[in-house]
Parts: sequence; structure tokens; C-alpha cells
Amino acid sequence: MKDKDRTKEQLLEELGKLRQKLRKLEDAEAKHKQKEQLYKESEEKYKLLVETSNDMIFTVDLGGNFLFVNQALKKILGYSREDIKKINGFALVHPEDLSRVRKQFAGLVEGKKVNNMEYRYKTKKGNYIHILNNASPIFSPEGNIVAAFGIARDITQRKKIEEKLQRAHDELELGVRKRTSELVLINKKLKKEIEKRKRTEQALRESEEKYRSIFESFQDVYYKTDREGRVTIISPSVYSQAGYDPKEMIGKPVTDFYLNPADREAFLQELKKSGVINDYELKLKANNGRVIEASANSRIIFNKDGEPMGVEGVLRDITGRKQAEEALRESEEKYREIVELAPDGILTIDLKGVITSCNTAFLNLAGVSKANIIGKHFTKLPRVRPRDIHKYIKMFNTLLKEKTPKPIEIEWHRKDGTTRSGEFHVSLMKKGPKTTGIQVIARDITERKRTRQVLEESEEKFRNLAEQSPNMIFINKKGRVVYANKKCAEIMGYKREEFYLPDFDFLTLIAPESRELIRASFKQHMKGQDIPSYEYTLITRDGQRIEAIITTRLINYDGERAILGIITDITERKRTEQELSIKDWAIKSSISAIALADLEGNFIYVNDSFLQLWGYENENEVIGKPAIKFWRSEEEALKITKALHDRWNWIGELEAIKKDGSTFDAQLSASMVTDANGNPICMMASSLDITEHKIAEEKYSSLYSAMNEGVCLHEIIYDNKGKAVDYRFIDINPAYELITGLKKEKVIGSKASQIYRTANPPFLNIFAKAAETGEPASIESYFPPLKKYFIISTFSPEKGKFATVHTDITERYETERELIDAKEQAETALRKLKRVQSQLIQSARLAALGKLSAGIAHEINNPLSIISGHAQILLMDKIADSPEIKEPLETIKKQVDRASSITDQLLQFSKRIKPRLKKSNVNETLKDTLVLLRQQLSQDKIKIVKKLSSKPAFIRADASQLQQVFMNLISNASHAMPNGGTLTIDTTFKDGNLETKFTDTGCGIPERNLSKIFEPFFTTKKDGTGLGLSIAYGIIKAHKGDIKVKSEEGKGTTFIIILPYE
Amino acid sequence: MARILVVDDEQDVCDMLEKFLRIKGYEVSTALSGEVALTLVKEEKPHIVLLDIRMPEMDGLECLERIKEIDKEIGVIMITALKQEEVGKKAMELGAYDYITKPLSLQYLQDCLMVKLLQMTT
Repeated sequence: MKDKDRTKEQLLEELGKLRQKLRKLEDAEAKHKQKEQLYKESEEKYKLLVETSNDMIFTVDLGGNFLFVNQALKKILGYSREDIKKINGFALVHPEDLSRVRKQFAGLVEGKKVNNMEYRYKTKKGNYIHILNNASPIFSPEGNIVAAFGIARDITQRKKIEEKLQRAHDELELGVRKRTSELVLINKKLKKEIEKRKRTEQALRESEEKYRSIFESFQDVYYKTDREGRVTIISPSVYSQAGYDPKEMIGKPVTDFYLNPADREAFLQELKKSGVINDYELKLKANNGRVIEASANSRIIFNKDGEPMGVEGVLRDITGRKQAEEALRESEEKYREIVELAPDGILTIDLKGVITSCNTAFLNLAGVSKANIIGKHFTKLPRVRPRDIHKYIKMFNTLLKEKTPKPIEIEWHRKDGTTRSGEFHVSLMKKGPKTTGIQVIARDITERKRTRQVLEESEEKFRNLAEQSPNMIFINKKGRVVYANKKCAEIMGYKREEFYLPDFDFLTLIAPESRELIRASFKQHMKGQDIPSYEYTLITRDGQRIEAIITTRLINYDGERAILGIITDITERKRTEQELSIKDWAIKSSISAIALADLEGNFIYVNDSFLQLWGYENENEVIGKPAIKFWRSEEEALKITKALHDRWNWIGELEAIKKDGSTFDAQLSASMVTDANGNPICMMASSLDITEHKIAEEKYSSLYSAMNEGVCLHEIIYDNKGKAVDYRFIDINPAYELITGLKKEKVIGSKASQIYRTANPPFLNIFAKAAETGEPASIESYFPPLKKYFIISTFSPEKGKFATVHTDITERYETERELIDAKEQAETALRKLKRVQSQLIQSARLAALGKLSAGIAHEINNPLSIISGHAQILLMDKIADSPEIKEPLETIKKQVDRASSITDQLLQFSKRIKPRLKKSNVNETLKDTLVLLRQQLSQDKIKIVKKLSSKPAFIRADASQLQQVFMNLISNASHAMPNGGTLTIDTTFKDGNLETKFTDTGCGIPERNLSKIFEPFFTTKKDGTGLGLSIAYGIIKAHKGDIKVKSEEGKGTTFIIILPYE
Repeated sequence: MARILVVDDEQDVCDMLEKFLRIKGYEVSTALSGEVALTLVKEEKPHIVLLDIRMPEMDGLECLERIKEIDKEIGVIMITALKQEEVGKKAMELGAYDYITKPLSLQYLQDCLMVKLLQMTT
């Protein structure tokens, strides 16, 4: 197909070239005609162009008469249009130039284009101007030359300069040219005459003279035969044409010169039809036997009576033309065949727009029958859509401008209702120099269009997908990256535009060791072979190596082969694979027997240790078998399997059964393997032979059981913040049961706080620390829950767990305790004794003091009484009227009273004076006391805060005694705050009592002194009597109340006076 | 004339009171012990007895009781060297008219005697 196309194209190209040469000459006429026939509008433009041109543009008929002149011509030559119409073009040519012009014109009439002909031309003013003229023939629609078209330029100015230089040369040439042109002109003229004579004898006869003169030099062969067909006249040109001596030919039968004498009959038959024959083709033979293709224009010669006298005619050797025609015919035939077979619709339209031919493909395309097309005007082609008409017009306009129009795309409806799209290539058809019509090559692009649309859509889809793909996707066309998706840019570290740069070498993206592989596979691909995916290494811009797997496909990209590649970054996968293989290896070489079972419980993998442990040699003996068969108790194994489905893991011991039927104890850790979403995939079990371990354990266990110390294993319970909150029993030994009376079954799994029934589990902090740090600890303590004394040693076998070893030391402790108790009792007794003693001493002291006081009072009061009495008597006497006597007497009396009051006080301290109870408001008493002390307190920088009850604090009390107490307490508080401070006094009703609190912010009372402060004569003050608090105590006690003290050294002291209320 | 018996184991106290009471116009006898005082109460039938509570041998309170046994009508004012209210109260229960403490306020004593004597005469 391609070959045919190519041949067709070559042919068309050849034809086009041929046409091109001639087209320029045909230009004006063709355009003119077509304009007239087809497009007035175009003509208008053309005319405008012609009229506005600075060059003289004109057309003349074959006789040289002006048919049309443009404005420029009129202007330059100075003739009016009327003038021009009367003027023959040759008349104004300079006589010297005329023959040359005529010669050229003659050539023009024959179809030769005139180029750059210079001659002089006469203006209306009578002077000559130099003209540079180009001219071309104008063809009639039938292809005949009917007129000439010329463009002339006034080159007078230029010419004047050139003239002098060229004159000599010109004149020389002129002679030659003149002669030649004259000859040709005559020849042509004669030829025309002959033509005329063919039609009219008259014309022939008239030009006989001329005929004779040209006969000699005539190229064609003139012949005349008589009635018998014998040559009577033959022109001398027969020699040059066929190599015969004309003289020898005379009288010889004309058939002698026929290649095939039988042809003579056919010739005569044809001639007889009308008496004249034109362009009759004959095959003649030359003297040397060469075949001459000749064209004969002949006629029967009649005499005056109308009898045929013979035949005369002109023969022209058309061998060359014939051969060319033959070649053309052949090629045309070939072409026609090609045309007919061509998949493209081919249509020819003549210059009138009538469709002259079309091929089958076009019919199929148009969906019409041949009969409906041929002979129709192209605009009447079925179902051309109106909206496409303008495309035709545009196309024809382009054609008229001698340009090859761009293909147009047209849609039309076929008779069967379908719509097709066609791409129309239009070009002018030439036959020789003539434009014979228009050729249309129509290609059905319906499918292509649809395909293109689908392609565009799929490309769009591809791009969308590619852009979103997590893989790198690229298109490589002839070694250049023409597309790379976003991922490519991201991973490789290049900008996308960089990939597309013409000098970008995609091999730089590939690790050196992979380049050859890539090159080879791309090459193979370009040969059309499929390449399976393969792995290679990419190198990013910053030199990072990326393991990748590439899949490539050969695709058609913009009409060319390209490679679409999808690259998956498998660096991670490779790493994972490696990790997995390491893990595989780990599993395979593990000492633990590792087995995987599917969800049905059948083994799918066992490692070497498993085989070894269970005594199998080959894994095939195991794979696919139910896992439960490998345990002594299938029932238990099944339970574990079920547990795995529920709980995901199980750890414990199980008795395994070997291939030989023997059993061993296995520590089994089984778990459910899940995928990323938590769905179970398979079950995994890791087992260890713990037979020996068990034996050892049993040893330990027996020891554990037999030892006297109680041993407990616990695990710490943490809250969600990770704080230890309790601990749980994991195991206890018999000794512990014995010591504690707790039963193992009861305690295992229970919390310590439950078992010991305590709010906080005992020693949690110590145990938690041991479990956390692993540092052993030992405590010797009374274990309240069990009411026993233990040395508890704790250590942590693993994090979060701890063991306690309880050594019961209750007995020992109790002995110790008894001793301690005895000692304490003795000490207590001693203390009591001491207290009693001190009390005794104190009461003795008090008694003594009382007696002493009383004695002193008595003994002093008597003399005082006498002194005072006498003084009073004297004061009653007349002598006391004298101030010198009276005043000293008064002084004596006063001093006696003073002495007496001292003894009174002494007496008060020594005696407990009974209060005189009256209803009194303690709040008021307090206020009165504070008023009395106000000045002193402010001096000592003591701030008083009163928080007295809102309700009047009425009680039955001796207000003066209470005041004495209050003064005492306030004074003490003040002394306790030597640098100032706050004393808070509040009264509250509580439990039927009135509580009065004195809280200071002073130095506080040392604990050792607290029990002594109310003792008489106890004082820490330098000048204290040690009686203040003692009296206060006495007074409050006398009120059936109580006085308490709370104190913290450095912080302050609170005295609370509790007095019965009501 | 009102008769007053002063009983005190100390001579100076008796002398001082005798002097004061005589100045004030009373007929005064003194006794240095309870026994003497009781004899004088029988013999002289005093209107008022000033009786010191604290005395050796027979103390004031015993003496008071004996005086009241002899004659209930005799007004007894107790004199005490100590402000011992209990004793004072006890004396009052035993029939003493009042009790005054040493050192004596002579003015108070005079007022007290006058009031008692007025009661006795009316």
C-alpha cells in the first residue's frame, strides 16, 4: 500500500512540476476564466489589484489588439481607454523592436511564456519609453490559446543608462534575432494558412505562393497521392524526417511507406467519411526501417467535377510525442489503477466544477452511486452540509492563488443516515501547461477522528492515572523522555521540565551497572519485542540509589513508537525482603521449635528445631498434618487452638508426643498471626523442651515446698498511669500456707488487698520498687493482716514481679516484745511513781506553802492589826488634829493595809479559791480583758484577731477569775511572740460547751514541756513564778471546765478553754 | 452602858481594842484565852463578845459555841487574821453575828457594834 502511495505521490509530484512550469504562463487567463465562471468576488479583488498595480497590465488578442489595459498602462503611455481599443499593440512598438516583439509574441501564441522582454514603446506624446515585459498565453476553457496577458514595467530611466553600453551588443543580436523571428513568424503564419486551406480551397490557393516558399523549409512532410495511391508530390522534408530521397519516392505506391500496408485501407475508409481527416495517426516506416508514428491531416482531392483525384496531406512525425503519450497513457493507466484501488476517495472536477471522475473509494465514502456523481456539479454533491460551503470557497480561493490549499475537514451525511468525516486534499490538475481541472483526494477520517477522540480521552485518562500513580511513569521516545509523571520528579529529584530538555540523557538516571540492561531492553523493544519486567537500579539527582522494578510497553506516541515505562520503587520492598529473609533465617535456625499452622490447625511450616525435637526427619512428614496430633492430649491442644481464635495468644506447658510415641514436656507459646488489619492469618507456636528444666524446677519446687520459709510470688498491678496499685498472687508455697493459714487455691490470682482485706496492699511501695528496680529488699515488720512478725525478703525474678520470702519471727518477736513490754511497764510504773512523787512533793509544797502563807498572814496580820489599830485610835484623838501627827498616822495605816494585801495574795495562791458563779458573757469578759491589755499588746506588736460567737456567750462563771485566766493566757502568748505576731481568739459553742481558743504564732512549746506547763512553779521565764498556768488550770477546773494545749515548736500554740454551757 | 468582852490571845491586841472601845464609851473586859472568856461571859454577862478565831487551846469557834450555850443572846463578832470565808461562814452558822478580818478597820468595828447593840435593845 505504501509503495503504491509513494508511486502515486511521485507521479503527482511529477505532474505537479510539469504543471508548475506552465501554470505561470497560464496564470492570467486561468484566473480570469475561473473568476468569471466561479467567483465574481475574487475577480473584484483581482481587478483591484490589477488596477492599483504600478506595472502596466494588459491583455491582447492573438492579433495584438488590446483587450484590456490597466490604469498604470494608460497613465504611463498616456492613452485613453478609447485610444487603446483602436490601437494594435504592435503599432506602438519601436520599429527596431517590432520584429523581436512579434517573434516573442508568436512564441507566446504557441504557448511559450515571455520573460523579461525589453522593447521600446511609443507614448501618446510620440516619444519612446523602455519597457520590460513579461507575458503569458491565456487559454480558453477548451485549452486553446485565445489571448495573451502581459505585465510591463517602464524601465526607461534604467534603460537610458544601460542603453549606451548595450547598444552595440543589442544591435548585433538584433540582426540575428530579427531573421530568426521573421522565419518563425512566417512559418507560423503559413501554418495557419495551411490550416485555413484545409478548410477552404480558396484559402489554400491564395496562400499557394507562400506555401511554396515555405515548402522547402517545412518540417512536416507534405504529400500528394494520385487515385491509385501513388506518391505524386512529397516535400523535401521527408528526407530529414524519414531519410527518403523525395525524388525516389515519386510514383511509388504510398503503401510502400506504411509499416503495415493494410492500414491504408482503414485510413481511406476514415477519409472517405468526410473527405477530410485530421490528426489521423499512422504507423509509417523510415528509410532505415525505423517506425515513425505520424499524424496525418489529409483530404481527398476532388477535381472540378467532384471526382476524387487523390489525397493530399501533411504528415507530422509524432513518434516522440506518441512515445510520450504512450508512456503517459501507461502511467495514467497505472495511476488510474492506483486511483481505483486507493483507499482514499479520489475525485476530479473540471474547471466548471463538474465532477468528471471518481474512484470506488470515493463512492463508498460519499455513500452514493457513480451515476449520482459523474457529470454533476460538485456543489450538488449529495448532502454537503451548508456550513461546510465556506470551506470549499476558501479552498478554491487558495487554489486560484496558485497555492496548495490546506486539507479541509468536512462532515457529511450519507444516504444511509450515517455521518462521515473526510479530509479533503485539493490540487489543480494540469495537462501539459493547461489547468484541466481540480483533483480532490478525500480521506475518510471518521474512524481516525473517533480514534483520535478516544485516544485523547484515553491519553487524558492515562495522564490522570499516571499523575496519581504511586509509581514512576514515563514515556521515552527515541531515547528522549517525552513524559514523566509527578512521581518521577519527586523520587528522582529533577524538575519535570528537565526531563524533557533535548539534551537530557535519561541514562544518567540509571546506575552504571544497569545502563547496558536498559539500553539492550529498549533496543529490543523498539524492534517490537516484548520485554518482561526486570529489576534495576536508579540513581537520584542527589546520588541516592533506588532499587526499582520496571515494566515497559511499546506504545504509539504522536504517531511514533515510544516506550511507556512504569517503575516501582522497591527499595523498601527489597529491604523488607531482606529483613524477612533474615527473619526467615532466624526462625529456621531458632533453637525453639517453631511451627505455623493455618487457621484450620494444619501445619504449614515447621523449622528444623521442630523436626529435631519431635524426632522427624523430613518436614513433609509434618506439613499439612493437624497440629493437635503432635500433643499427647489432643483435647487440650484443641482447647489451645480455640483459645488462640479468641485470645490471640496462649502460653503454657503441654505434653508433646514425638514421632516414636515418646512424650516430653514442652513450654509452648502460641499466638495468632494477624495481618495489618488484625485479621487472623495463621497460628504460630514456639515450643521448647523443658523436660530437664522441669526436673530442675521440680527440684527447686520440692525445695520450695519443703522450706520453712513462706514464699510467695506476686505480680504488681499497675493502674493506667503506670502506678503500682496492688499486687496479685501468682504462687505460694506450702510453708506460706502453713504460716498464714491461707489456701493456695484461694489466693492464686487474687489481689493482695482482697486477700489481706486491707485498703492498701501491705508494703506495696517496697515491693513495687523491688519489682521495678530488681533490687532486693528486706524488711522486718509486723504484718498486720496476719498479726504476725516477719522478716520479709523480697526480690524480683522479672520486671513487674516479685517474690517474698517470709520468715516468721512472731515467736521471737513476742519474746522480745514481752521483754520490751515489761521494761515499758516498769518504766511506766516508774514514771507514775515519779509523777506521784512529784505530785506528792508538789502537794506537800503546796500544803507547806498554804500553811506558810496562812501562818505568815496570821502572824503578820496580828502585829499589823495592832499597828493599824493604834494608828486609828490615835487618829481619833485630839492630837490627830495636828497635821504633823495625823499624816504620819495615816501613812502608818496605809502601809499596814498594803502589807496586809500582800499577805492576802499569798494566801490566795496557797488556797484554791472557790469561784463565785454568776451568769456572765465570756465574750464581754474577753473584750474587757483586751481593753485592759490593749496598750501592752500594741507595744509588743501583737495583732489580735477576734472571732467571737455571734450569740452571747453566757455561762455561769466567776468573771473576775476568768479574766485572770485570760490575762494569763494572753500574757503568755505575748511572751511567746517576742517579735510580734498574731493572736487569734475565738469562741464557739460545741457539744454543750463553750470553747475559747487562744492561738498564737509564737515559738511554741517543746513537746517535752507540754505535760509540765500546768504544774505549779514550772516556768521557762526568768522572772516567772510558775504559778500563772497553774492558777488558770485551778480556776478552769473550779468552773468544772477543762483546759487543753496544742503546740508545734516554731509554729505556735493553741490553748483551748472548755467551759460548760448552761 | 454596853459591856464588851474582847478575847484575843495577844495582850497588845486586847489592849489596843480596850483602849479604842473605852474611847468610844464602852465598858470593856479582856480575856487572853477562851476559858477565861467563858468565865467572864458567865460573870460579867457582856452584851457583845469580840472573839479572835485563831487562838491556842480553845479556838474561837469552840469558844463561840460555848458562849452560845451559856447565853444565846450575847452578840459574838468574830475576828480573824486571815480572809477565810469558810471559817467566817461557819462562825456565822454557829451563831456569830459577823466576822471582821485583821488588820481591823476600827471604823467598821464601831459601826458593826452599834448596829448589833441597837438590835439587842429593840
